[in-house]
Amino acid sequence: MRGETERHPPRVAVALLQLAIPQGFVREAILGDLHEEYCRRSVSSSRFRARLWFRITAFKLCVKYLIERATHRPGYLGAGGLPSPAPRDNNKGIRLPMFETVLSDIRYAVRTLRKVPGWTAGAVFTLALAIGATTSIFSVVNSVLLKPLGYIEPDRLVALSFTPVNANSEAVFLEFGEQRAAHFRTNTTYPNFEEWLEATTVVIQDLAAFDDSWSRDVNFGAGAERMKVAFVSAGAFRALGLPPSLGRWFLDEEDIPGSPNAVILSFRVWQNRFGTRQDVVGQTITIEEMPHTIVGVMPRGFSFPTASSEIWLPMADASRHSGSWNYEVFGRLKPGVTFGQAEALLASRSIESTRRDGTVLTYAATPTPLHTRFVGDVTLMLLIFLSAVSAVLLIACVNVMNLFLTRATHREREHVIRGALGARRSRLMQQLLTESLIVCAVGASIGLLLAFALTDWLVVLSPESIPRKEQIGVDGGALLFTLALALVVGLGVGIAPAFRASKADLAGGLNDSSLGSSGGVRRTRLRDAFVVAQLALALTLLVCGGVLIRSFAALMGLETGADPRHVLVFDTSLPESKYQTFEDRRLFNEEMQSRLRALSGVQTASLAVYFPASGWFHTVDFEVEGYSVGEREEIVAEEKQVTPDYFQTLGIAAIEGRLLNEGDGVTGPEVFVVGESLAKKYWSSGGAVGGRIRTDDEWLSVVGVVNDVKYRGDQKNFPQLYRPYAAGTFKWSMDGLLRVEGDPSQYAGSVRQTIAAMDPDVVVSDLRPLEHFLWDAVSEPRFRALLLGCFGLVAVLLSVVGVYGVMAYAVAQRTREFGIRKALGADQFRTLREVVIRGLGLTGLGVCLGSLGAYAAVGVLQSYLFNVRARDPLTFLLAVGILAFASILACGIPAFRAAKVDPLVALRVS
Amino acid sequence: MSRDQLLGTFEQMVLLAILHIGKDAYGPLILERMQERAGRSVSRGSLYVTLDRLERKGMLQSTIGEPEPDRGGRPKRYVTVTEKGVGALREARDSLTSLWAGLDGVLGK
Repeated sequence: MRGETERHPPRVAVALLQLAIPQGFVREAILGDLHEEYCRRSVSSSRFRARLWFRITAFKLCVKYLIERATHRPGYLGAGGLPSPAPRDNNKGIRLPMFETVLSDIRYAVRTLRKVPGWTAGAVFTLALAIGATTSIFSVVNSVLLKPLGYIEPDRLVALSFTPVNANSEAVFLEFGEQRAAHFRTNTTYPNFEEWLEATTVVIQDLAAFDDSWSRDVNFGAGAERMKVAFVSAGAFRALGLPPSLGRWFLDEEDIPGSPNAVILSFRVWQNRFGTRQDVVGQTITIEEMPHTIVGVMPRGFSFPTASSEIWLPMADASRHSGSWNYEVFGRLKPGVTFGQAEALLASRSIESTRRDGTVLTYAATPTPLHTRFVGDVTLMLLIFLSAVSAVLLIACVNVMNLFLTRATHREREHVIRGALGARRSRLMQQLLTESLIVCAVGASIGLLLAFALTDWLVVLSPESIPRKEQIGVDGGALLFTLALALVVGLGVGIAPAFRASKADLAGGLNDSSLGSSGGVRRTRLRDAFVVAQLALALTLLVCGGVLIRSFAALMGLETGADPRHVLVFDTSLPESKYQTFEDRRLFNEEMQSRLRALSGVQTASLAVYFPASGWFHTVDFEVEGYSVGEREEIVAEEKQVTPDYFQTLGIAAIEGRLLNEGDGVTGPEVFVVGESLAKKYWSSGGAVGGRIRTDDEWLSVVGVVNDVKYRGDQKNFPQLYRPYAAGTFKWSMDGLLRVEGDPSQYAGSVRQTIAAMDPDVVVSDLRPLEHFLWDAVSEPRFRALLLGCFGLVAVLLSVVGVYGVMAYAVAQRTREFGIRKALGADQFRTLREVVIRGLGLTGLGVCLGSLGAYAAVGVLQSYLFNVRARDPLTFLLAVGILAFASILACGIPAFRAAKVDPLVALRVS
Repeated sequence: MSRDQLLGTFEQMVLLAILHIGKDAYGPLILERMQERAGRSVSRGSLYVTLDRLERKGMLQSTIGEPEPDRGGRPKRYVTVTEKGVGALREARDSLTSLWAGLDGVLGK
């Protein structure tokens, strides 16, 4: 049986040939010839090659026959139409086969569309724009949200979230504040993870922890560089299930501190640093000056947890941070265990952890699909984009449908005549649907090209925080989507006009059709309803875009309290072995500062941990002398260790007291400088200078108050606390900040050279103007505002074109009527008014409905807004104003045309 | 001779190959013979379309063979050159020969 099926040529190719070659004995003979050749080839060569040959040959033959048939007169049937020779005749009957009528419809449609190039171009480009934008956004949604994660059976991977189950724990969560509490819901400590490992074994296999918040100095042999690394416990790779392309995963013993240092590389690192050499496993690289043996290379395209982690280290290396709440936990459900079962079982388990102050906290864990954990944050944003672009598509479709309706009215006579000559109703409909499908197919093809460009542009523009960003692209799924979209849109915009045309009134239509004033009340109503819907959608989008733009403007206009212009920042990392004591590091840093200061054009050079907008910050709990802490009060500050020049470099001014001095913490006592909001909060009646604060055992004086620096984008800023770097305990990594003359990026080379001249082993990274970091910090709100703003504007433009189209058409239809009225002495302003009032009525209705829509829709954006209310009256008014103005303008032009109608010309029209 | 009675080079090749093969001439065999004699690859699609065209012009005649299992139960289309076809070939040869005559000096023997 199998042997027999194998001798069959590819069925799809045969079916295509049957479609392309006219029915008849010729087709049978050709198929026979190909079959014969196929059999010969599958014996002499391989079956695979024979099938490939058959497919290619069939494709070429189809193209040849389709071209032949399209370039000949309708009715050309190839030799199938020839009087067939004896003894067989398969070609009886004169009915054109289905395929033949489709071809003739296509030919006819192309001919008619070419006669109205302006109309066709308008329809095609409107659709191209909308389909392109929709495909592009769909590609993003598909790559980020819809595609399963690239691991084995990804739907069985779950991440754990932690919730407090007793009053104590809940209090601690609340104490953290909302922002930190979110972190503690998804992260835990390593000892806690080990407890979970035992508590979950019944339902989860290979529970693993990971922490990707670290960077390390990695040396592949050509000098050290700073790279992002991810620490993973041994179970992680097992849980993900994807085998390495070389070597092995981490072993369980490699989680234990003191075991030999191991490292696993990503495909890209292997390719770029080792030229895909096969003998890489077993070689050593240096990480933080410690030799690490390469034990494995992961396959191409593997990323975990994000694409920025290109090097994985076992937990042994990370164990010194085990007290930190930095570990996310995930695992694979055991075979046969459902998500619901896991959820139920985990709900009954809890673990206890004791804080330093002795409080016992109890947590329960809930599973979340790993996919949700990875993409959950952007789901809402992407769905909003998808809805917005769908609205744009809908508006575009309505425009094109209106174009088709208008044209159907113009061609009414043609349809009536064809009907009178015996064309069936279905035949007329098929013809008109072919036209709309062709317009859509061309529009979708151009749209697809547009989508490739737009998607690339979206990837460049989108914030780094979008997960799986590296996978975004127009792929097979997106192509299918476009195809389906084109088909649906083609039928959608064509069905109403086709249905209408097929009902053409035979008797009435043959009368002088131009006499019909505006094509019947029902038709006008349909078009009017479309226009109102368009305006309403456009207003909704415009308001949503407007609110986001206002929010972004508020963010940009925010007084940051620091002057980021002309500031160059960089990150330095000193090798631990060379700079073991704090004094070694202090000496190096002071020498570096003085050498950098000596560079021409450099005004100040300072050091800090960390610089604003670096993405890093350090918070401390503190106490204020004489201030009684309220119940559940959060008393946390962001602590910065800075050199005295820091304030001058960033233009931060002292409001009270003094700034830090060189001697603070070295020759004199250690002191604090605090931010304005901290001073106001804890010394509400003044007197912060001279007050005392402690972050550990020692009370230290506050010597000055400076203005607040709010650089953390739209997120919450903590009150700020500065202490002298010279007294600090921070170790090997410092950020440098230089205030320079002119463009800061021009100083990058000389800064690198200066530091390399001092010690080539010091790693310098992130060397960029501070403004770039600030710009990156607002990339998310900027992206949202830009995208929805664009959609809003395109929607307004399209709907105004829609209004214009309908009004211009109505006026053109009534030219004769206006002419007669004018000849009878009608006032031209009355005509003008009449047209404008109708336009205003449509606009008014659209605006009313749109306002309601916008009022409902804009609430979704609430969480993205900064210093702007979602239902911001100003934005509503502006949006309504813009839309109404544009719409009235669109009515005005046809209205003036109506008023200016020359009665003589108008009466001669028919 | 009317315009559509003129033969193109490819049409001449097809007709000549059929005459060479004789009464068993059908698609693949013609293709093989043409490739053999002309020393270049010939498009299958062009051959089939040309066969149809020559038959419409009346220069070829098809007959249908028996369905064959090796061909998936499909028959062969045998073609033979008609009198009109032979006439057209003769015409083409004569007009070309008279044009070739006397140009040995330019084109070489």
